Amino acid sequence: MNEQDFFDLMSGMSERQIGEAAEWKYKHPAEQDSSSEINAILSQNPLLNPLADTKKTEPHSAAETEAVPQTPPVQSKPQSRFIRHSAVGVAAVAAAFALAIGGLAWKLRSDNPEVSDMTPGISITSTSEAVTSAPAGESLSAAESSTTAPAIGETLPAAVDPDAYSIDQTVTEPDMLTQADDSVQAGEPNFLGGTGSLRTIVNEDFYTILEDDMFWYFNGTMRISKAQRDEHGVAVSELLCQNAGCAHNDPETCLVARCSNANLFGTGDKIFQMSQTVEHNADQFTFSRLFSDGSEHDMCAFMIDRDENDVGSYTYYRSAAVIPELNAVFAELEQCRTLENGSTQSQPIQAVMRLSDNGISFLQLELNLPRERMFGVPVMQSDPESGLIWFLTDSSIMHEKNYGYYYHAKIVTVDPKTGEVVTRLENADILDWFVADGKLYYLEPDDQKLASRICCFDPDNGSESASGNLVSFSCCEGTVYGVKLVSVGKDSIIRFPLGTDLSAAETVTETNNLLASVAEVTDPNRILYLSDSGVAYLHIDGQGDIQLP
Amino acid sequence: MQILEDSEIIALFRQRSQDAISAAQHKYGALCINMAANLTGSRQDAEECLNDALLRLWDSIPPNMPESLGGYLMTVCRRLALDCRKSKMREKRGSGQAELAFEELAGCIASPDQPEAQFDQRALQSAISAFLDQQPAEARVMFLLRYWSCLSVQEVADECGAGVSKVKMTLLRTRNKLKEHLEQEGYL
Repeated sequence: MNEQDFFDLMSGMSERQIGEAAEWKYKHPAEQDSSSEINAILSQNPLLNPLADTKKTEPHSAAETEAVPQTPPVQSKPQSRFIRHSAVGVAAVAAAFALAIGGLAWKLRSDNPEVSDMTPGISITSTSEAVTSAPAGESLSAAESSTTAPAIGETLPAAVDPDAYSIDQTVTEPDMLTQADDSVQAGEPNFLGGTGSLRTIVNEDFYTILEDDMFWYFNGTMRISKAQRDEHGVAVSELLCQNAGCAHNDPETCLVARCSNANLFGTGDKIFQMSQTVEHNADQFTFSRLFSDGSEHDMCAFMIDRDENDVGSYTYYRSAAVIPELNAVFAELEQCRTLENGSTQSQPIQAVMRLSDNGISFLQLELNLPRERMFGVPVMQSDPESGLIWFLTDSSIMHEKNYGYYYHAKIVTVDPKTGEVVTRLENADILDWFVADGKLYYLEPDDQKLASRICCFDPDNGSESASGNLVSFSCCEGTVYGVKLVSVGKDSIIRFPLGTDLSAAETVTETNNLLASVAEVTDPNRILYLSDSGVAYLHIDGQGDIQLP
Repeated sequence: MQILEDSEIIALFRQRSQDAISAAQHKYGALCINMAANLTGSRQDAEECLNDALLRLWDSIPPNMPESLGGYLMTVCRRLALDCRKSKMREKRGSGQAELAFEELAGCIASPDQPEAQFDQRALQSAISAFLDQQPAEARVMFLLRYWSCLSVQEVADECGAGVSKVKMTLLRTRNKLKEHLEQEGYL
């Protein structure tokens, strides 16, 4: 072993372990804080000055440096929540303005087809990770009658222990997921002040963007009109709550307080909400569907089991994705326990909750989902053909010069009915992936040249692959749409029939954006396209020409 | 300056606030500098690595959303420091912590009779990572800081709020356990 081998070997440590080491002294207040030393060093470095806020990063005087506490201040929970909510609010506003520009440009281009360049400066993240795109209310009969694909490779038994969690099953409504009709029809007012049903268009950890016929709504705090402009031609924006003197802290009377605390998320046509993560006064932690008239329907709640001294346990949702075509919800949860000695324990849990006539089934899974998730690359895919959910697990994010980042990962399937976890692929290098017709398609970096391979894994017939040079792809109605890397900063979008044969590929258009990717194709004529310049829907007519909205 | 939670710093990045840079630097800068300095042998190069890493964070968040900002920043900083180290191969390398770390651990993960090259490196990485997961958190952190970050024993002790002798003893025990583990797994 030489020194380089040593460095390479140690580079394989997981992000979680590295993060734990980095944060160690902040998680253990007894340790000393030496960050004041580095502040003194780096505050003199001019390189950071252009980015630094001079009001807050000017070099500390000796007195100021000494005043820095040697142990990190322990914030009270309410204070932490306040800061977090404030940050979220500000992030939402930033996202709001960013998307508003895009929205306006989109609208303007719709009205003015001659405008054909992409909108610069928009920066929002993909919705594909947590949002499923299957049509609502789709019949479940196919999924119900299908059989599980034969297991290849390791089979991991799922730990099914419903007794470990206090689930209030009495609040579930089995038909809720398949109910497609909303309570508000077109033209009718919804509870956020616009008209028509509310739809989710962006669903991320820090913000949610909804829309109706009149507005875009940002994290439930503000809205921007789709039609109104001020004297400068800028879209009119306003806070959701217009009550004079409102402190925006009472969910009963203030929309801002209600929505910003609700953790809204959705599937496009339906909106869900889960309770705020740590609210000690709450009676229960609930996952519920939210209708456009503001009514809620609880779907699954975890009961708190703690005494007056907070000793006990509770569970909360960290994220959830509804899979209507499988009548299931995939949830990432956190189970927290407080022991009598005051120490706390926290354990991440993944589970599939499946709704049926008999109520809700809760299946805990043993998945090692990636902590760090990449832009535009899904972690979960559902497959109505086989009735399985595919997950990208056990991953680390790798880097290769030509491709940027990709996953070194394992792909498993989960049967939502039994919780059976089956390993399909191990040690796979994955730039992007999707599941279609019961087969896994993924892009694998080619170490030897500036190209990637498109690979197909068929659980019945094994794998096949072919050369290509795609950096991302997506499938819709039997056609694959991909971004083909021509050279640095130059891409083309191609499409070809589902499979690994690119000989019949046709070029849809050429672009000159960095970090371009096809995020989602839900309509053969509409591609959600992401790049360093922003996000845009590309419209393709039957001849292959392209119109940028 | 108040030390912010990672999620709060990431929120600042996402709203494109320049305070994000100083907050990340304030929280993790010292650790990154020590790591990079031991890898590059130069405090000045280490500062440049940290600055570059912070700028890369600025460029990549959003769209990236690291769950562990510290881990993310350290990974980027380490990669830059290793690149810098490569480019300076002919120069004398400062305090030599990287060499010391390598020499300490090489005895545990390499056998003269059975070169590790015979094994898939990723499998070995996984074995070490899995082994560390089984260790007490403090021992795991000390191991990572010493052999991943190449911090000196003193710096590890400072990071962990422990004495130098405790760090040395913990590292020795962990190395011995690792060697035993890898022997059982057939790597040695």
